[in-house]
Amino acid sequence: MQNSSESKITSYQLLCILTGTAIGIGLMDLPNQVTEIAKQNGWVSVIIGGIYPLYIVYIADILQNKFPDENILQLSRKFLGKVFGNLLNLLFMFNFILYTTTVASGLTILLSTFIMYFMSPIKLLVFIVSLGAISSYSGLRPLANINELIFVFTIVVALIPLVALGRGKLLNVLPLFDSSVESLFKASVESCFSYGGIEIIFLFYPLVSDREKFKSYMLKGVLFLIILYSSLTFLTIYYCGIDLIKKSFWSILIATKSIEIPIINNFRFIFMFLWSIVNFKTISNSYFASVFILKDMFKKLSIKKLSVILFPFIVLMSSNYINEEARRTFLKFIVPKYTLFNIVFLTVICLIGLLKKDGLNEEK
Amino acid sequence: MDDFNMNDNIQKIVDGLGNTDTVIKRYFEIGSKLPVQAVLLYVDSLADRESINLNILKPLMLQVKGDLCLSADICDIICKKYITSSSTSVENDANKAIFAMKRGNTVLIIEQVDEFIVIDTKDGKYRQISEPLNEYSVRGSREGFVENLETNVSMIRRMVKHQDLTIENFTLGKYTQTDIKLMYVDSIADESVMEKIRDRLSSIDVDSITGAGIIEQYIEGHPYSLFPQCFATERPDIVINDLLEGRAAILCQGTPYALVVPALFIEFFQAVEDYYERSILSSMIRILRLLAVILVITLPAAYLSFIKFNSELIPVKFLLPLVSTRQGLLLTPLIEILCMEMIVEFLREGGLRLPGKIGQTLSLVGGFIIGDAALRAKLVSPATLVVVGTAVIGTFVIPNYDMSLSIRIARFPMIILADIFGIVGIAAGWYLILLHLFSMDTFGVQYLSLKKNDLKDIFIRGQLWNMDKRPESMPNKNKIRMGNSMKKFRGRH
Amino acid sequence: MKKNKFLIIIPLLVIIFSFFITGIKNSDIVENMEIVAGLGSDVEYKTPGSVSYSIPLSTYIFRGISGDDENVKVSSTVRKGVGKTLGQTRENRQSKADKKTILGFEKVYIVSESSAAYGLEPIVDILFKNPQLNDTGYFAICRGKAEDMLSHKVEGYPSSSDFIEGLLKNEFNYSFFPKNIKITDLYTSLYVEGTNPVVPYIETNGDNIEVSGMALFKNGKMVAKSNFDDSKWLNLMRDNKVCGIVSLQKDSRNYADLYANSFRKVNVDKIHGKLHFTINLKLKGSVITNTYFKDISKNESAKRAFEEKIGEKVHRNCCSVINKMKTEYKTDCLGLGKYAAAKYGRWSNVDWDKEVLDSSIDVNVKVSIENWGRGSFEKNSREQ
Repeated sequence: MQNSSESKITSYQLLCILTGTAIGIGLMDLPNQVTEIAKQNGWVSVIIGGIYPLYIVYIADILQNKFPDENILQLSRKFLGKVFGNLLNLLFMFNFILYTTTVASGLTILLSTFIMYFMSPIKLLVFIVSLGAISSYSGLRPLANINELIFVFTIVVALIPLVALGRGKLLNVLPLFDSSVESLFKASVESCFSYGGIEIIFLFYPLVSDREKFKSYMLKGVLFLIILYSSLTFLTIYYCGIDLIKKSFWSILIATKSIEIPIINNFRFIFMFLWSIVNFKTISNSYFASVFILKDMFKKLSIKKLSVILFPFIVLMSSNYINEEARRTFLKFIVPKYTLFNIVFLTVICLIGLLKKDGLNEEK
Repeated sequence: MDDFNMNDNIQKIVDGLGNTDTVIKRYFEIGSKLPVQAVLLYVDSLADRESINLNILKPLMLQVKGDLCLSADICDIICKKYITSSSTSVENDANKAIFAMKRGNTVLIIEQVDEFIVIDTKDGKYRQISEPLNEYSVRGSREGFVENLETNVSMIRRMVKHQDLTIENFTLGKYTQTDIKLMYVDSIADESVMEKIRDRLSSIDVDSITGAGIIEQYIEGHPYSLFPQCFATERPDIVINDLLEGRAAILCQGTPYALVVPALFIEFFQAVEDYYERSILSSMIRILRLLAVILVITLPAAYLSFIKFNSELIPVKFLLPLVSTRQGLLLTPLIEILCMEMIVEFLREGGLRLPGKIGQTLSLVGGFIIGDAALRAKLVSPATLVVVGTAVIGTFVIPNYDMSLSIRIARFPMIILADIFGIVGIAAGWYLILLHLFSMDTFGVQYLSLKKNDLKDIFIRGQLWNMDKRPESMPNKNKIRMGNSMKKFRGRH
Repeated sequence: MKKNKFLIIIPLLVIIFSFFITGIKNSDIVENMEIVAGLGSDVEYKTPGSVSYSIPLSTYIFRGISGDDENVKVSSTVRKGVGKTLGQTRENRQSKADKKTILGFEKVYIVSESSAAYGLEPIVDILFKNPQLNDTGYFAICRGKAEDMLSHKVEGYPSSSDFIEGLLKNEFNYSFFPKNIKITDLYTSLYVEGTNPVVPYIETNGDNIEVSGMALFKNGKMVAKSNFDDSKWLNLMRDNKVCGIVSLQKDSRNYADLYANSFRKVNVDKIHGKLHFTINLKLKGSVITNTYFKDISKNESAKRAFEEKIGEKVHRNCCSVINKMKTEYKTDCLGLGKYAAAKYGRWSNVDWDKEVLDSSIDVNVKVSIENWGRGSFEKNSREQ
């Protein structure tokens, strides 16, 4: 039996983990966020927002080249001292806990509204978080494999709204580029939540077995994300028009509702079914990342025990924002701050790493 | 003459064998003028009397002209000149002689000589090679394994003539002392995997091993898992193909099937027939199998969740007939489905135990009568019967018996999950099944792995001349299995 | 150790199971729920200022024929709920019904004329908020009360909603009727910049239910109804790729009919600060019957003359409808505003309705005949 924390994963699996953690519930209301500011050019803002993941991958590549065997947690302790480093690691962990809780609560709200109106949301939340806990209990290797499999799934799910191409009106996307550049940039900040989660590669890059493909696969992953998000936003605007997007909470679902298959009454449930599986994986990834960081700090406890211990905390935190408005307000408040923290933290580590590149042998 | 030596030796052997009733001691003399005393020891039902008479007694008693002198190499002379059996050996160790006697060999003890002559006279009545009962093939061979270990090994030896085929022997079980053979191809199989298998086999310390199924349960890594980790097959051609992929086969005396370890999830869905048919036909059948598995697990659960929770997702044209036929039913949907499943399982298990024709008739007629009566009594609705029946029939598509049992059982947790959570329960169920499959490993090899190179043999069956590499999910030493020119042909000659 | 493990696991499983399975509300098995075939909306004016809403639902009833277990007769009944708000109508209806209703199967949504004139917003809001709703149901306005329309008995169908669904579904084959008359299309045209919804209008005529025109809206309230003939040209100008019959008639015996498929393109310009729209229509059709013009299939110039005559007729009718729109209907029912918004910017607080009514609208029609049918039974010139 291989020890899960020592197992190796391939670059392709890391690509799947990267896209897997980023593609979550944030995708559903991405058009809402961007069209509010950038109107019908929202999809351009999404492309601009892709600068953030590209930057993150660039930093990851530098760090991976210089310190191939130490992940970000060990590096931050090394460069910034044990206490301060641990503190920053803790903040980094809260990042992932944020993702776990918001995706879990977002999925609960989505499912409660559309399919599971018969069950109280708390129970559904407990169930969904328990799935994340069970996945993290099994360790990294099964998680990486499941990400690989569900990546294919995600591509299928993402292709579904393409049907809206036939029924939309090009009119909805015109006039092109009449929004000011400032509004485009402001709107691209809103897309940060959807791109969030890719910081997970900083935890796992030491475990990658084929290093030479690291950069190309990560870039491919980010490119995939950017193309996926912008095309979905474009399709939603194309089909619904910005007025309708304003009215509904989950605008991408309206685009999928346009599909009419002869036998099936309502395409909604197939989409929900596939989308639930995709989101289970997202929640598991973020959950495992949090547990991973915790284990790094409390070395005596195993991943299995930590998964179980973390479970009630995540449930409690998620249950705070189980209604959609509270959740969105909270996200609007905290996401820009956290994105800033991530960028600063990672840039600082990277810069210190670059500066120390000559003195690598001294650091022991 | 000095009988002490001989009696001591006889006593040693008789002690080693236990209950003395079945050991036959045949005293006779070799030579005419100065006869040498000899005793023949064998176990009554294990040794072949004809062979003893013809090959040992007749020559030694009748055809020895003159005398034999008791020299050091008298055993050698007897073996080389007089015993006409095809296999003899001279042993010093009484234990080895006992070991051989338990397997039907005969031991010849000569007075004043401290050696034992072991002569091969194995017999015993065994079933002849016949068609495998559970794995039928249209185009493949009709031979199946039998209970006799030697016959089984010979079947495999006949087909794999390469010198790298390795056979290791084990004897397991304190009282049964069953012979086990581990076979693998040395130049292909991975060392660490074989090491693990060897370790686990040697660590078995039990009273009895009566069949390979028992060995399977002792050596598998996840005893609580739903899915089998060793592949049991009655056909030699499957074993041979697996040996050439880097796996090992375990043959057990008295069991008419072989265990192939390590077994991966995918191979339970590959039938041997797939490889004898042409590519396109087999691909269609593989896709059908995949659909069947998905349907079997998901269909009853999805039906339940639609009726119970998300009624607005039922297709419109289906709705009115469905609701019309469900008016006034007695049972709630969950109990309805579980009852129907239970009755089908009763019929199936009952049909297995009853002899031949009665079993078939029971299953058929029982199904019709009970189903019809249940409809009339308004216990169940026709739609439920269709759903449950389809799910049951779907399990027959899976070629391996163990796996079809597992899939059958996997339905029930899915139904329970759907009863509680609806469609999200089905999504969660699939997620958990996938998670479980990915976290299992057999003998250090990952149970389910979908590597890009293997895909041509998983969901479809790609052309045989395309499969130039061995499957990557199974670690092996020698990656290429085809000459370079095969792929270039692409069927064009 | 093993014994303890199972002693813990099994009660734990039972507890978890019961935790999840209790407290399930709002759901029952499908045969215990009321299936809705059609949803209606009425208003009753209690005082000049306030109304009480009434929502009739046409639901299926399954009645087993005595002695015959196999056949169950399906028919329908109308359940009405009345209340001061739309939410209260649900309460009122449940107090009169023996099962809980499930939405999700409605085939049609029928809003009465008075209710539409009062305003569509409350109804569309409650329908949009409900995630179970069937988004592919057809939306129509009816004369009189929706309750009467839903309880109207149509032979061969369990409920009139089934008939109305078929009626609206197949209407697109003729009269240039639009295909997008489902409730999703209402969502995309109500309160959207630059368009106003245009909804089919149905009424009962003796025993039949028929489509008698289109209902026109402004700001979410119904302001006018165009009759069947005017609706034809309205729809032709409003939608792309519709089909219908254009006829030229001299007298009752001599006429020609053309079954045309239309292609429409709209261009918008600004002339002297005022908008100028050009609607380019291309009609491609097959001649269904012709007892008016001689030799159009053989003679090139006759064919062109015929095409021009048809083009003129269409142009005349369209212009008269445009006039009516500007003077009588006073709302942008051609959907021209969104073209202007697409060119000149969205969300800019411009009232596109007013701009369209002030604008100048040109119609260019081009006709081409593609198909003559099997032959022609017209009298030969020799036989006169």
